Amino acid sequence: MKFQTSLQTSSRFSDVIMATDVAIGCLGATRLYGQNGLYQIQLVLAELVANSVEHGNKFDLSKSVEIKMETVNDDTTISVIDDGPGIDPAVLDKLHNPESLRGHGLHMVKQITGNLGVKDGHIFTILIQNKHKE
Amino acid sequence: MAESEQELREKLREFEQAKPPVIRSVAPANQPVSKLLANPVSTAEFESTRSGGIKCRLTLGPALIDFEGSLEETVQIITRLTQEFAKSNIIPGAGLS
Repeated sequence: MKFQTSLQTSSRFSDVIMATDVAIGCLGATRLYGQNGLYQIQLVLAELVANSVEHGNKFDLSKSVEIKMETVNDDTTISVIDDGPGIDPAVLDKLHNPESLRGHGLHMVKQITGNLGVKDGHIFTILIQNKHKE
Repeated sequence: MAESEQELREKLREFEQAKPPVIRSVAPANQPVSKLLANPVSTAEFESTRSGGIKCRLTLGPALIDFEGSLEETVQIITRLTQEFAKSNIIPGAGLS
């Protein structure tokens, strides 16, 4: 079964939190993931949307954040797209510094999912494979 | 089984069996075909597929949801989405009627 969800929201934090909750609720309805799996996906998604609001859209409320999810069989691809100019992938690789208080979010995303793709500097995509089912 | 779930299954059977593929809008929610679709699903469109399944597009608050599956899968997904959101306050206005 193929299941796709897309949500577009303003950069207001209350709106993106609601969109994240709705996205997780929709994913929950597929019954592909257990509570723990959904919790991990929610952590990752929250990090990506917060990143889009803060670093992509620079808190500009006129700019939007889009969440796209596509589930095919057991695998779900989630993309978070902001309206910002995009980050240089070379800069992205240097963001994580264990001694810094910043830059840990995307590192956490990579740790949980094992992957993080960036296209055009503003489309962040992760693949959730069935190891997160439980 | 909920009465509304059975209503939905019967309604969707028309789309599953329709040939050639047809598109029909079942909502907006002020003309619900069943209690199940009334809330929190705000619009729903169904289309029969050449393989005998059903394509479904729902709007649910800010979410646009597309899926394709068998009649039973479609009923299950809509039922679960309704259960997931009907009693929550995640989507403004849902669960009030």
